[in-house]
Formats: sequence, C-alpha cells, structure tokens
Amino acid sequence: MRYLRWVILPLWLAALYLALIWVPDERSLGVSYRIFYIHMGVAMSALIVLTVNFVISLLIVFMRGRREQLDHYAQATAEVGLLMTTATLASGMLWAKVAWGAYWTWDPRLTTTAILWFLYAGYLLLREAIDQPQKRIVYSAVYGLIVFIDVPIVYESVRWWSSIHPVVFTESGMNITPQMFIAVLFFFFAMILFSIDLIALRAKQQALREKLERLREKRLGDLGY
Amino acid sequence: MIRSAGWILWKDITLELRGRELLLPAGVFGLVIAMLYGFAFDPSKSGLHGMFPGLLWLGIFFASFLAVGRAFSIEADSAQQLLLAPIDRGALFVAKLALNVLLTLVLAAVMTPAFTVLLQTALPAEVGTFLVIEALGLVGFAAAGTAMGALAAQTRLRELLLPVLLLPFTSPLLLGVVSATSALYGPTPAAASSWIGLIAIFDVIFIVVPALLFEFLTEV
Repeated sequence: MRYLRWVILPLWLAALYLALIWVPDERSLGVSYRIFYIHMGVAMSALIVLTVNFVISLLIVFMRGRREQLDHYAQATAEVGLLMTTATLASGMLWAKVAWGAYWTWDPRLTTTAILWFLYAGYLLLREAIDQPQKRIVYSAVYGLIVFIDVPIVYESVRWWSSIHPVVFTESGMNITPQMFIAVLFFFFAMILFSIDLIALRAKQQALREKLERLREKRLGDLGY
Repeated sequence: MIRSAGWILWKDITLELRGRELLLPAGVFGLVIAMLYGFAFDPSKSGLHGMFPGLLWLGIFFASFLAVGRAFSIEADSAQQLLLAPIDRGALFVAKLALNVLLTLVLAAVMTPAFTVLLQTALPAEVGTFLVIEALGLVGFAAAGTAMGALAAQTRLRELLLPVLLLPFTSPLLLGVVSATSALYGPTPAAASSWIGLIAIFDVIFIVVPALLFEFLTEV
C-alpha cells in the first residue's frame, strides 16, 4: 500500500495535464467545462466506494466472523464516500453556476445526490452515537444496508426521469469523444486510487487505535486499577 | 406471531391510554404548528392555497415524528425483559409498526380538520382519494419511523438523532404525498394516481426491508 502513493501523484499530474491542457475547449461552454473531468472522477469514486460499503455491511450482517476488522473498513468507506460525494456536489455546483446560471436546481440527479449526502452523514452520526462496540458494528451495518437504496437511484436518476443533468454512459454508447474519455479515465483512476489509499490509511488508524485501547486497559489492569 | 404482536400492541395502547405520553404532546404540537403557520403566512392571501398540501404534510410529518420516535423508547429501561420473552422478534417489530400507524392516523385525524379551518381552505372534492393518500402516506411514515426509531433508541442521543436518520429517508414520501394532494386540488385529479403508486412502493420497501433486518438488531 505504501507504494500506491508513488503511483497516485504522477497519475494526478498526468490527469491534470490532460484535463486542463491537452483536451480542447468545448464549443459552447468554453474553458468552464473542464471541471467535468474532476466531477466525473469524484462522482464515480463516490458511487463505487459506497457500493463497497454496502458489500461490507452485507458481510457484517450475514457473516459471523471478523466483524471488528470489517467494521474498520465500513467506517473508512463511509467517510471517504461522503468526502467524494461532497466533492461531487461542490464541483457540480460550480459548473452549474456557469452552465445553468444557478448553483442549485431541484433536478432529479442533484436532489438524489443531496439525499445521498444526508443519508451517509446520518450513518456517521449514528456510529458516533453508539458506545457499545458490538452494537455499533451491527447497527451501522443494518443502517448501511438501508441507505444504499439511494445509490442505484442516483445512478439511474438521469435515465428514469427527465433531467437536465448531462448523461455520459447511455445504452447507445458514450456521449463523449475518445480524447475526452482518455482524460476521464485518468482522472477516474487518480481519484479511485486516492480513495483506496485513504480507506486503507483510515482503517489501519482505527485498528491501531483499538490496539492502543486494549494495551492501555491491560496495563491499567496489571497496575491494579 | 400475530398473537404476540397483538399482546405487545395491546400493552402499548393501554400504557398510552393511561399515561397519555405520546398522543397528547404530539397532538398539541400539531395544533401549535397550525397556529404558527397562521402567523407566518397570511391565510387571507390567496397564494397560500397552492401551498396548503405542503404545509399540511410537513405539519403532520413533524408532529407524527414526535410520536413515532418514542415507540421504542417506551421500553428503554426494560428492553432486555421484552427480548427475553419467548416470542418471535418479528412480533415486536410488527407491534411497534402497528402502534405507530395508529398514532399517526389519530394525529392526522385531528390535524387535517384543524389545518383546513385555521388556514381557511377546504378539503379537495375527492375526499375518498384524499383519505387513501393520507392513509398510505402515514403507513409509509410510520414504517420508516419504526425502523429508524429502533436504531435511534439504542444510541446515546436517542430522539435527538432521529430527525437526521429519518427525515432524509422520508423526502421521496413527502414528494409523493404533497404532489398527490396538490393534484387533487388541480384541474386533473387523476394525475394523483401515479404519485399514489410511488407512495405505495415506498410503503412496501420500508415495511419489508426493516422487517427482514430487525432480527439482527435484537441480537446485540
């Protein structure tokens, strides 16, 4: 995992070069559309990371073993997923101000993403509010299974309802040029590897914190407290 | 299972009839909302009528929310004893869901007439369809409230956490009930039917998914 960071930095720089310099300006939106590459990268990462959170929640609820270790990843994926959702909303709002003339509209894609943000913010608050570890693990996993309902809805929202949000992946292929697709791909890999790195780091930190907690209790016990 | 659920429901209803801890505060709160709406928005202006469905449903949701949030807190100190009883854990969920449906129905029965009078408007001509929307909408709210109440009751923050857990989930339901009710006031009341479909889907999801997962909550 340590070597992953040596890949992420050059990939980031390459993605920035491709998105900001290499691809040409868009015909009607000009230079402002370039935020699309960041937006697409963080949005795809958000949906993927939250899907991983769902799979981990499934494992916690339906499998008996290794719940503590899995739970570290459940917390880490929810946090990184929320971070990526925040970045998606922020980059989208900046673009919307230029393209649509307003930071926010109640478009289905935007609305479902805002709900997604609140659901996972609630997930993290729920974790925070349960003291007993076993209870926290199972309760947040059950909540994680329920909140995931919104993730496919966010993805399909532009296809189900009439939305003004642009669609990239459609049944008849992709709505972007091959050159744009390369830049999208670079940004996507930069963001998803960055997410993986953050998740690994956060999960390890959780594990270390628990180990420290156990050692402290043992030491206090040895001293007779 | 139905029998045990019936007994738990009967116990909670008896407790409520004797203590009046849920309906009375929630009902009075519902009426206070109507009064505050009257101050915040001038009911004599015609523009208010377009907003009436939204105001009514927000009021009902907020007042119901006070009641459904406490359904699991009734046993806050004796949850262990209830779980030790030799009954299906599903019965507990069914009983609390039934209790919450009853509570919200009573609240809506008080609040709907009060809102129409205080905000100087009338119920839509198709009262039957309106009642169907109300019943389905309240079942959905009670179902989501039961599921989230079960989670929130075990946290340090109890009811403080409930709005954050519950209200984002109810946003599609709110959209459904408000749009359906608005359609009844509009020129094409038949347009309500597709919204009623959305409400029904919400109801089914929030009864079935929590019912399947409830067992796991009682294990820890």
